[in-house]
Amino acid sequence: VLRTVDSASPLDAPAVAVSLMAFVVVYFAIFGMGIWYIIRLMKKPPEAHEKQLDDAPIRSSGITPAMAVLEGSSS
Amino acid sequence: MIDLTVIWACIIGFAIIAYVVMDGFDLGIGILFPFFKAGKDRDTAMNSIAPVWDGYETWLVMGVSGLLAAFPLAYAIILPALYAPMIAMLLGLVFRGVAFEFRWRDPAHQAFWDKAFTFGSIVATFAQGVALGALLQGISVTGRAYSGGWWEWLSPFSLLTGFGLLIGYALLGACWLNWKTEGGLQRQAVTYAGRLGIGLLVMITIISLGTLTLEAKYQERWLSFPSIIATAQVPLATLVVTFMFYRSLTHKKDAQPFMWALALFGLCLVGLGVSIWPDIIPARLTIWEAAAPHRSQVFMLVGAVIMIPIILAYTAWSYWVFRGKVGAEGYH
Repeated sequence: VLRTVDSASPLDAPAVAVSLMAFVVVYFAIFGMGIWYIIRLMKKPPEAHEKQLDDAPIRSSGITPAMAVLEGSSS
Repeated sequence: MIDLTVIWACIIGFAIIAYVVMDGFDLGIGILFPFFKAGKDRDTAMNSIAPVWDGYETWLVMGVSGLLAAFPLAYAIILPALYAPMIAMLLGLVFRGVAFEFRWRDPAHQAFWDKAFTFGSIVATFAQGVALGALLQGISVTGRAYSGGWWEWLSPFSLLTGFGLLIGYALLGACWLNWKTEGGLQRQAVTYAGRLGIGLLVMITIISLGTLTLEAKYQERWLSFPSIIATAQVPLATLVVTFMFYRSLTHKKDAQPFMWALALFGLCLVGLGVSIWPDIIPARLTIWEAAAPHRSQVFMLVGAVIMIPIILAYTAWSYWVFRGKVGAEGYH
């Protein structure tokens, strides 16, 4: 049987702590910016004669319909 | 009987080559991004890699998990030794990946996401180069574990390989844009490719000579008679490939310079093989000493033999679908 303590890597605990903190900070920053972006979209009230979705293709994969996105979100 | 350990070493070598082929150019475009005009040129550069850039993940995961499964001892020693550069690479890739989405969705902050794209690409590339240098210069091993400190990977040599890889990937990026774009952006890419080609040749020369001073074993491999007759073919082939690269560039070929630049990378990997084969941790551990038991090798080989052709087929298909020149907008 292999005990957990025997299978631990030779990395020092502070090294693992630093990398964990780095991931926490980066993920919070990136997801934070994403949430901030979504909230900003939600703040914009709906208007009359809004563009149909068909006019601006939704990105599925591959090449982004750059111009459509840029025009669609000119706020 | 066929030696499965050698086969697994070849599969991991193949994963590394596939990674460089499929991610080198789009990291290179990230590195060159600030030099392109904001707006249309950057949109085109991004669009040229948008359909294919994330294919690299497959090979990164396959290379690392293949190492864990087929050479567990090497995995247990290399990853702790290269912990800092590996974590830096992953964090860099995070910024790069989200930049693809955010720069289109959030045009108001496009300048910021363009910087994030470049930052992530440079960090990831530099970390890979440093990791390679750290592996070549030697890793401290005691018993069956890494015994170096936090900063063993950091040395003038590993920084040099980091810079070398930045230039190399930037060259692949420039060649890719020469292939996939038109007009002013293509001309700009050709100019960059011409300069970066010289830069890469200089870096290859310095790093190759530097490698010879690292271990007596490397020197013996390359310079002792009669093996020098065989090993001398690698630098000679490098000169021939460089000549062909510049010839195709001056003849205004689209795809050929990219292929020759990849051939340069291939020769660097051959050189790496000459230096370290059959060691998986240079001068410390051979592939046979690090290998997993025969039964696990067989078990995993079944999966690999089925999956690798499927991955290659769908990858080839996606490159085929998005063949030809790219515009700044719209679908093909």
